Amino acid sequence: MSISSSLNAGVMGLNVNAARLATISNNVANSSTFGYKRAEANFSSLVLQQRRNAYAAGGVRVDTTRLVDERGALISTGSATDIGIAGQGMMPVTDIGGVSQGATDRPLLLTPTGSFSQNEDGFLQTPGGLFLLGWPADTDGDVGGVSRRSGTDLEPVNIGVNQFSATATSEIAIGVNLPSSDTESTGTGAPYSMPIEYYDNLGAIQTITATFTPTPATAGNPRTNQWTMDLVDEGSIPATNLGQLQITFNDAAGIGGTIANVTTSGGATYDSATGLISTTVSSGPVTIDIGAYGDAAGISQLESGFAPFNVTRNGAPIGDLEGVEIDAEGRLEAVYDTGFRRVLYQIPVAMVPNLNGLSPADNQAYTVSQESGDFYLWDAGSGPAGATVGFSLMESTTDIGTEMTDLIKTQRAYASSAKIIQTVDEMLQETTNIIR
Amino acid sequence: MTFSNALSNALSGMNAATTAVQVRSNNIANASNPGYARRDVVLSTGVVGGVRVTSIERAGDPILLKDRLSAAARSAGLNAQSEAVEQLNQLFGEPGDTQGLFASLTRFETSLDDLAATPESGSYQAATLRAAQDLTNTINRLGDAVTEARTDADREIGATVAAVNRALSALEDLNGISSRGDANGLGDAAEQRQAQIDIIAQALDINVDDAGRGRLRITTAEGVLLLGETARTIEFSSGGIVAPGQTIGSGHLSGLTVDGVDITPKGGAQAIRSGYLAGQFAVRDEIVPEFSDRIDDLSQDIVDRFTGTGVDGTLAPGEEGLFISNGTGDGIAARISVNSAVNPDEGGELWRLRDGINATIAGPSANLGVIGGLLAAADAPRALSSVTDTPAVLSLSETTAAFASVVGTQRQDAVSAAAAATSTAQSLRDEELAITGVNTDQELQSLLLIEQAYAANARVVQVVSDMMARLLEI
Repeated sequence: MSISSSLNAGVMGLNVNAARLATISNNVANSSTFGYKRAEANFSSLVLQQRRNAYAAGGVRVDTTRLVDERGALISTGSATDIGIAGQGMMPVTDIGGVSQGATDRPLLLTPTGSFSQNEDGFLQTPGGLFLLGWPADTDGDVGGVSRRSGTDLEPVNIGVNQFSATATSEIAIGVNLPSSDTESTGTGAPYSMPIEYYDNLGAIQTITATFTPTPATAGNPRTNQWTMDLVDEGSIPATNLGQLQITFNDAAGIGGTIANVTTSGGATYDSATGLISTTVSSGPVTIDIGAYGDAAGISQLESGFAPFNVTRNGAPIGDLEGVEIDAEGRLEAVYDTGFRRVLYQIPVAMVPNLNGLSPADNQAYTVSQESGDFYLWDAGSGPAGATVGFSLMESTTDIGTEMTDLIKTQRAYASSAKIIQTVDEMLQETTNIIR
Repeated sequence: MTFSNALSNALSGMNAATTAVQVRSNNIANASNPGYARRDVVLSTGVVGGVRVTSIERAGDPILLKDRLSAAARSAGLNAQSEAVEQLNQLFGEPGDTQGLFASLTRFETSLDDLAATPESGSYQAATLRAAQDLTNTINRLGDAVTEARTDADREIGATVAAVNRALSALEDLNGISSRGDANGLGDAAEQRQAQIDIIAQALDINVDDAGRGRLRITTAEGVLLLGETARTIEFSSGGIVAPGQTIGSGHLSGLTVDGVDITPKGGAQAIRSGYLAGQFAVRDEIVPEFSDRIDDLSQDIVDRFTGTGVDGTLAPGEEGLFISNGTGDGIAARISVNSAVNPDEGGELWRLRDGINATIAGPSANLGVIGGLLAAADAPRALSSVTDTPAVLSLSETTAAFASVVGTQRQDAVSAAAAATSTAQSLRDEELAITGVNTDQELQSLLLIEQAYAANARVVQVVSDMMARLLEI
């Protein structure tokens, strides 16, 4: 009977609009919640079996979805560990229980943004109780081969254990100009000394002293372009001789001042293709880059003063932690008071095939569900994954304007549905009144 | 989405404007602070719309800075030398002075002339003795001043080295600070660092390189590392009183070393060449000793003129006469004195001026005695032993005048070199100030623009608010 179907459709209309009102009110309530993704109520019509001479109102059904793929604007904040993702994807986090659990048992949650700060145990935690997960990096900042299809290699990010840190030096590059006039017959043969600093295994600063001694030409002969380089490691006690290099420089057109030939003695080895001296100092093996044959960088011999213009090295001296910062590729770096930075963790960005299929949890976190599909952990900023941005939080995707207009529409629709019920009621009243 | 985006864009615009106003206000507040370098705000588009303050840049030109530091070092060194030369020149005096060496010399010669005219006059004899004593006292004072000048230079080197070492260790502490994210770029770490660099650069010519991570690496212009990961110490020990003849070679005086490398000016291959330290070393080890040699020569000349039987028959060959040197070697100027044989206060007799130093009894009072010999000795042309740039054969007063002219020329050279270096340093300083200094007009003009930008952003907020209000009215 079509009149009762109308009544039914009217009641369904009330129900679905009440559901939409609930989504709107939740959206408005969370309009300034960082990382909130707005929910939407979608209506779909129901159709009953139709005959040409009669019509039965099927009514309406509601589906609510959360639009997780909508991105909020990033706003800047004052904290380095306020992290937002500029683009698609979410950061892996876990709850308080997951911190103490093993990787396989740990609940894996995803969140688009979080205001993290160190808790009393050194873990990075949001006020809502989400703990940031990341891959621990070695001293070179590499995370190695990690599982990207599961969270087994992820660990809760802990800053406390890295309050002090040091890394031994393994590579040194030097740039120095030796005065060519010293190898002329007028040269005195006086040596030049150049300290090269490196960091040992305990983060102390040690010195290799390089001494450059020119070989002056005998009277009446052109300059020899020959120098002797002695390396002494002052870091060992007693100081150890690392060997000697006899370096001859070019003075031909186009390659003037570059290294022409190197002969080694006393334990030093030199590779003429890479320009590296391989040696072992107090902290272990170290390479010293002095430039390859014909290379303009490194050691040169030009008609200028003795000028050590460059000494670079890897490693880090001992330093106190000043703070942590995240870069666009998700590398969480510790900044030490010595000015050094070291990557502690890499924070991946998780992508799922259907973001809107993620099931929401408290604190703007989501869990992977059947509908979302499995996650894949990307490096931030690569592939489809967005970049991680420090000093920023993602705003709620709620737009008050949209919600207000939806509210008006919902109110009108609700009132109209109520009117249908009233009309059906009045029509049935008429029918009842026929038999009096 | 759209409303909140519009609001957050406007907010970022207002934030940028307030940052800019903060920077400009800091610039204007420091407009008359000579050590301050202007800061500028660098803006870029935000990651997801809006505007972002990328950094706050400190104005500067590293190449100009290097030139400026080098010129400042040179100027400080040459000025130290010129001051020393000027001081010595003043001590030495010029012909025609009413006091000092020339006046004493003239008085001595006049008194000898007077005594020659009336050899019997006791008061003239006394006057001659006084004039001779005055002459030796003046020369003694010069000798003492030389020691004092070297001692002062040595002490000044010690103080400068200590200041440089302090600045280096302060820089070691300041190193790396800027890499720790100076939150608003307005902190004074950069200024403090520059102040310490300026202290070091005054003392010696340095190269300042950026070693990355906000760290500086300082080497001397000759390539000796002063500040790497850690600060090196310049070793120097002050020698106390620097007596004539004491040198680095004699082991009495200290040079400069860093990490065992000798950087003493005029020393080894990596010796420092310029700066206040080099200047003071030149004063201590070259300019003053040279002057000392000159006055020693002059003193020796005065003693020698009155030595031997040719001047005074009572003297043995080679025996010192009216003036005695009291020993051999450097520093004669500080020791020269009048022979006690003619000084009644020291048991001598005034008449020996007339009758000869070793005369046992007074001769006839009108006798000219040896006075003629003394006069002739003062006027006799003599060749000087060591100092080369003095004309060869001269009388006593001519010798002194020749010395004065050499010292005067030296002073002229030093003063003009110092003046040239100072003006170069000053012009580079001015050029740097033109780049780093605060131009108040420019700041005020940009404040106007900032005000407009802020107002426009605030208007956007107002519009969004009105639109919301309109919506809620429905």
